[in-house]
Formats: sequence, C-alpha cells, structure tokens
Amino acid sequence: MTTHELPCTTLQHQTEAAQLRSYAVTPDVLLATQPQPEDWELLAAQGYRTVLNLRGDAARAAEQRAAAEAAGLRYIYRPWPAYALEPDHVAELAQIVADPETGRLVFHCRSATRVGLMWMLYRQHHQGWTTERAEAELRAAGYDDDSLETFDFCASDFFERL
Amino acid sequence: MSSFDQTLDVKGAKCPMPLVKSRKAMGDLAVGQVLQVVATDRGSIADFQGWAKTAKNVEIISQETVEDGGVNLYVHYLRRTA
Repeated sequence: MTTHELPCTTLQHQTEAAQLRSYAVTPDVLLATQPQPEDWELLAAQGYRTVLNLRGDAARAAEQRAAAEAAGLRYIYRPWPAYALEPDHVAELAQIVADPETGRLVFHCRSATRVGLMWMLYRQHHQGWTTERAEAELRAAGYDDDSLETFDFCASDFFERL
Repeated sequence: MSSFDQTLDVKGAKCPMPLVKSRKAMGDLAVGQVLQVVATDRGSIADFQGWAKTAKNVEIISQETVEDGGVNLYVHYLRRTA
C-alpha cells in the first residue's frame, strides 16, 4: 500500500469525518478507538478496506469480525502484547501495511493509544524514522502531549530490550 | 486488601504505560512476591487480566475498585510466579 504525505489540514478533515475518535496518520491509515456497531458500514463507505484489531479479547473480536465482514470489510485480529512488544510484532504490522490486499486500513485498540505506539515503532524500527519525525506525524494527526509521553516511554522500553 | 511487597503508582498513566511499568517492576521482585499497582485507567482491569493470561510469570491475586476523593482507583495485586 502506498502512503502519501498530505498537509495536516487534509488529514485532520479526514479524521473529523469519522464517527469514532480517530487519528489519520496518512490518507490510507486511520488509528482509532474501538469502533461501535454503527461505525463498520460508515468506515466501509469511506473507503476503508481492512480492520486490524489489536485488543486482547478473542470472543469480542469474533463478534466484531462478523459485524465488520458483514459491512464488507476485511478483518485481522492481532492481540500483540502491549506490555512487551517485540520486533516480530512490528514486522508483522509492516507486512499487513505493505500487503496490497490491505487497502485503506483502520487500526484500532480500545483508546487508540496502543495503536499509536505500534505506528511509532513501525515508523522508527521498520522505516528508520527519527523519534522527532515519528512524533510529529502522530501530533499532526491529533495525539496530545499525554499520548506522546506514553509513546516515548513505551518506545524507549522497546528499544532498550533489543 | 491483599498484602504486597512493593507498590507502583500509575495514576494518570494511559494504556499501555501501566502494563509496561508493571512488567519492569515485576522484574525487581523475587518469585512469589506481590506487586500492588494503583491505576486510574478503567481499562487497566481488562489489560491486567490480558497480561496475566498471556505472560508466563504473572498471576492476578485480586483486583479492587476504590473511591478516593471522587476518583475511582483500580488496584491490582499481581504475584510473580516464575
């Protein structure tokens, strides 16, 4: 999947168009809180093709898979352990992002913080971005100072364990 | 309230920081010792349950909700098992 750099105003407009709290880091990747039942069809109508769920509850994920697929979305469930993320998890995310089948991606957890962290690790560890550049992208998408502090702490823990 | 050997204050911290800080604190405990974690994130209840399910060295002894000055505190007691 190709990602494009667009002015922040364009991305912010895209974020506000969604009905859930979300952060459009690129035109093709939306980091989001837990979508509600009415959100699946809306996301599909907005051109999103794949949902990637990072949350841990397998039973809930099975229910959401049925609802998302009924709306025409592909559904991928990856309960990567937030307490100890590893390079393999980042590599798996990179594969999903790069897969032409993925198309426009909604990547969600409960509060959109874990997915923000995973996106920061993807940019830094997989794509070689600097911390400053990765943080700037997340900040432009709408993440606040508290979130950035969380990303910093958890990303430092990730890199310390390499 | 369960007894504990060490306490960790993660009030105000967002997911996944309480988990990451707890994992690091757990590393300082001996096997069998108990960590008390005090959080304000309601999601920490499910998050710690998920950690205990997938990690090989943690079990939950108990989880309590305590009101403190109008704020709910989510208190978790975790034992290092390996």
